[in-house]
Amino acid sequence: MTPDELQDYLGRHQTAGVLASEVAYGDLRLTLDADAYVEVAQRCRTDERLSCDFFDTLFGIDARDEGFDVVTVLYSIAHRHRVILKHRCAGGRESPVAPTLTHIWRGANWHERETWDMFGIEFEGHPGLAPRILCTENFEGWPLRKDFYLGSRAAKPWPGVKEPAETDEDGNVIEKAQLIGDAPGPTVLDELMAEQAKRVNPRQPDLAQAEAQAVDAAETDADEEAGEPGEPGEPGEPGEPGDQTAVTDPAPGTERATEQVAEQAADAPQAAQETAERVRREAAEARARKAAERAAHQGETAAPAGSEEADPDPPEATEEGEQ
Amino acid sequence: MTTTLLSVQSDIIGSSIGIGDSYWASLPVKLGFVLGLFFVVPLVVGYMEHKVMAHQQARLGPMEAGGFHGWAQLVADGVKFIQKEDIVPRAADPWVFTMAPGVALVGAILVFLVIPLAPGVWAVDLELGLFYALAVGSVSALGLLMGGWASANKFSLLGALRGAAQLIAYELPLVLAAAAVVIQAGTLSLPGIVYAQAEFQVPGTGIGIPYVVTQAVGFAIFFAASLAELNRPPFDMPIADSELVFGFLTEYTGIKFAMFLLTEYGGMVSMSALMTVLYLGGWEIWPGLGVPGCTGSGSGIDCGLVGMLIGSMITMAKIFALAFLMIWARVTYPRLREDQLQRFSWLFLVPLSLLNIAVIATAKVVL
Amino acid sequence: MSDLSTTEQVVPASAPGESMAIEVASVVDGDFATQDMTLSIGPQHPATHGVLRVVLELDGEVIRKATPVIGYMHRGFEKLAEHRDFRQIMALTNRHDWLSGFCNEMGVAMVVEKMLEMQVPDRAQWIRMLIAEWNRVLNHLMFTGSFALELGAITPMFYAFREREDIQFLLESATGGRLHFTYNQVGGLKIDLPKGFLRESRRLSELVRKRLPDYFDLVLGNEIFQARTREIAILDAEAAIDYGVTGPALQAAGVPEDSRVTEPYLKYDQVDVPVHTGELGDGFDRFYVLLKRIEASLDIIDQVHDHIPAGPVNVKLPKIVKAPEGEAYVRTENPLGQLDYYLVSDGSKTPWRLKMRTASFSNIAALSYVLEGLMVPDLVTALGSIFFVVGDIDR
Repeated sequence: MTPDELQDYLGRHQTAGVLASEVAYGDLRLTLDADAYVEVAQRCRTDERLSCDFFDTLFGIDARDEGFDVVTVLYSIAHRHRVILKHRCAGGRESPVAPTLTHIWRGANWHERETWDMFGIEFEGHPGLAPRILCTENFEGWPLRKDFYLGSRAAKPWPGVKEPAETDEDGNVIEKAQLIGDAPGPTVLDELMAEQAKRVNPRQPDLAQAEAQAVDAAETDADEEAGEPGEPGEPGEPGEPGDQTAVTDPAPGTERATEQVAEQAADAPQAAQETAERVRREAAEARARKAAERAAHQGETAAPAGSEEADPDPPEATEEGEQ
Repeated sequence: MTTTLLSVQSDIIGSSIGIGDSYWASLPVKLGFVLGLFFVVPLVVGYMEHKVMAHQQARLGPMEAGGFHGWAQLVADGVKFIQKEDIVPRAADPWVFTMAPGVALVGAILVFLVIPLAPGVWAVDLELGLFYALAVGSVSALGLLMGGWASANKFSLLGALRGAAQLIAYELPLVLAAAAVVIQAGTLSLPGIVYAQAEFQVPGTGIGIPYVVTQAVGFAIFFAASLAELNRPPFDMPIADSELVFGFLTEYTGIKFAMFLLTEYGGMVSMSALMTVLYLGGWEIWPGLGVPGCTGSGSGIDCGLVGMLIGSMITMAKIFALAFLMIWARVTYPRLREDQLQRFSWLFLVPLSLLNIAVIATAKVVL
Repeated sequence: MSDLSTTEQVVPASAPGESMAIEVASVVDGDFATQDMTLSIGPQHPATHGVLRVVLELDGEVIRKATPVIGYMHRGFEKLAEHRDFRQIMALTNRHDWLSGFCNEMGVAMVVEKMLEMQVPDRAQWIRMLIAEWNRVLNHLMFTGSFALELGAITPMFYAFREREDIQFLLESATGGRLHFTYNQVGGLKIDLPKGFLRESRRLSELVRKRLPDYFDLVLGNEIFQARTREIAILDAEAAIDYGVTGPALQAAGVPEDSRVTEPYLKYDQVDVPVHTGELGDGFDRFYVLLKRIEASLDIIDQVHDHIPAGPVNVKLPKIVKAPEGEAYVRTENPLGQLDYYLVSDGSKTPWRLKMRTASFSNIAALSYVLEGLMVPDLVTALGSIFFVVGDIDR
């Protein structure tokens, strides 16, 4: 049955306990009352027109203050249709409880164990939730709850461009309290690295902020300038201009790339710029010299005097692959 | 009177040295022969295994050790094993644990006492040669059991129990197949069996028939049983490195492990040598044709130094050919589960070998 | 247990076979008291493809009860995904089933594209199919070698890896990686294929196809292999469906369920996807289906070669990718089975919840059912033939 037919068959008006039904992105999702959950699941299995015999998955979602949701995905091999059941666990955040489905599908066993392990949702009637299936036996806490802070960020702050999760809407870093002592080591190193990054790409922080503001200002048009270095797509790297343009610009990027490079070059520190230009000049002279030698040697005029090669190399633009 | 190594030697060297048939003087020569055989040939077979396995697996094998195609690989391995730390697990029984490789090794070395390489080139020619070889060869099973039990490791225990069951199961086909050869040859002495093959001639010609022709089934049984005795794939359940880590060998490192390995390769050589003697006609290129450098053939053979060397080389070639077959079997076959292994032995090999004996005995009497 | 049994707590000494206190059930049956031995296979063990632990209760060599213990490789991918931008989760997802990194990434790219209702260019879709199928061949070749190795046949491993090296070189030329490709991105592919890729891909497809009959003859046809796998470790269709087993294990049980056929994604509805099934669901059938899936992938690769259109391979992405509030579900056919991603978004830059339903997790859940009553060597057959990767189980 197609999702719409399923919705008609199982929807709010046909089945007791269904609080809402929605066909989103091609799948039927039923939001159930906690009490009717097992009954509806049972019906999904036993009803011949549904016959959802394949246990796909079961997992939890953190629903902020209201507690936790449990989502069960069921599939029917014979009819090739899918039903997604979702219900809010009783007991709120303190002691969430849900009924088990292991007596209907054996496959629910391990999925419920994992959901308990990750969220702390007790499944009544489950043959044995303990020992913890994924975490170590003496682990404290329920990892996938939102109030369980991701430990790695506490131990060492991310040294590169701040991740989206750590920046607010304007691109400012959300200041988090340093949870691990006042040890100077890693943080000092991070600061040094950040300074160095600033020296190499002086525009970078400004770019990020400016871009963030620009995008927020023009919220509807999502096709803002792409291809700036420092995208969150590659955090922590100063960013080679060439790669960045190639990544997101499908058009033959040569001109745009040269433009970018020129832009970049214009802003680089004076010394670096001069060095670069000097190097380029010398290389061009060397090439011209060699070409002249070759021409003299072969007794013909060297056709390309190497002038094309003297351009600052545009980054290797993407080639269209073989047709 | 049977010729011995020393009596032949004294012919060559002459009585100038005056050694004669002195027992105490001949002892070091015999010991040297046995130990030299035992410590050199298995290493060559081991190197051959590295290279043959490698080439059958589309790779090269040892290439570095020693420079030319890694010929010194096994030597380097030996040095490595000797300089390793000797670890005895805390819960293990230290005496039994340490003695086990020794027991296995002694059993393997003692078989070499009766192996004949050429006329006169043997340590001792027992009249019970074959009986002795098979009996002493199965002492290694004891070493296996001791090692597995004393290791205080469940995997080793499982491996040892499997090994013991397997070795018991495959002794019978081995012995029965050999018995058929003895019936046809009429003697238990190993050189005697070679002479018998040379004298078992096609009527009218001087060409002998090796027993592999008349007892092809027996040869196959003996070959399979010897693979099982040596714990070689496809019968390597006691080691079974994908289930039991390394079976009874799990806790062994260093020189003790090297001793177990030497037992295995030494067993390969001795089993191949026994097969050469029993089925392939021993030191003669073809039974009845004699050996270049020797006058006569069969039991009337009389060899000089050159003849002895050539005869030894012929035997060695046959031994290496059989070892190649063993290595080939290792590379090709997965391993049997041990209940399938037991079934294969008790329900298939043993009745077949009994049938083999019956047929040979009848033929011997009738023909 | 009968009333004659007593249980006692035994804490073993430093015995290397186990690491925790066990309860030993001793049955006093007349005059003969026996004890079941508890043996822990793993977590470090040559047969377990990684850190999987199976606790066995043995009666001699017969397994009375088997309990898989997982979690030794749990890295918290789902938690990490909640702290990453929608594009950054790509690098996370190609690491849980590391033998099929591209297919995993593809799934996550698809679920984000579904939520953003993004149109992926055709060329990208076809190339995704091509590389996904090559990845499938890579994965299956690995298991071909390792299954035979665990049974004791040491040679097929080398030949399987010879093929794999060629394919990895091909994929490295396009993606830069041999194992973790990170070639997908939201909206298509990171970069177009290099020149000569398709020519090389055609050549390689012929080469692998030419060598495939060897596996059928020398491994499947080997008597000892058949003795070790026929009617061993049977996972019947009904139990498989109940546990949620997918992939070769399910197809071997006789159920022709394949996401590429039942719910085609990308352009799988425009190619012919052969699906082969076994009959019994024993080790032999699973291996047979594995080899047939390699053949099927090569068939698909050959078809895809003729279909790849010209065009862009990716879509210009905005600087900040935000998915609208909602929940989306995508199901793909990973080489090991069915891989689903369920993405819950609350309208921000990072996912609120990304659930990865991996094939190996459900496949191994069925292990305790399969192993009851088998002997220890059959454990190896079962583990080797129910194809799994530990990173996929634990994420």
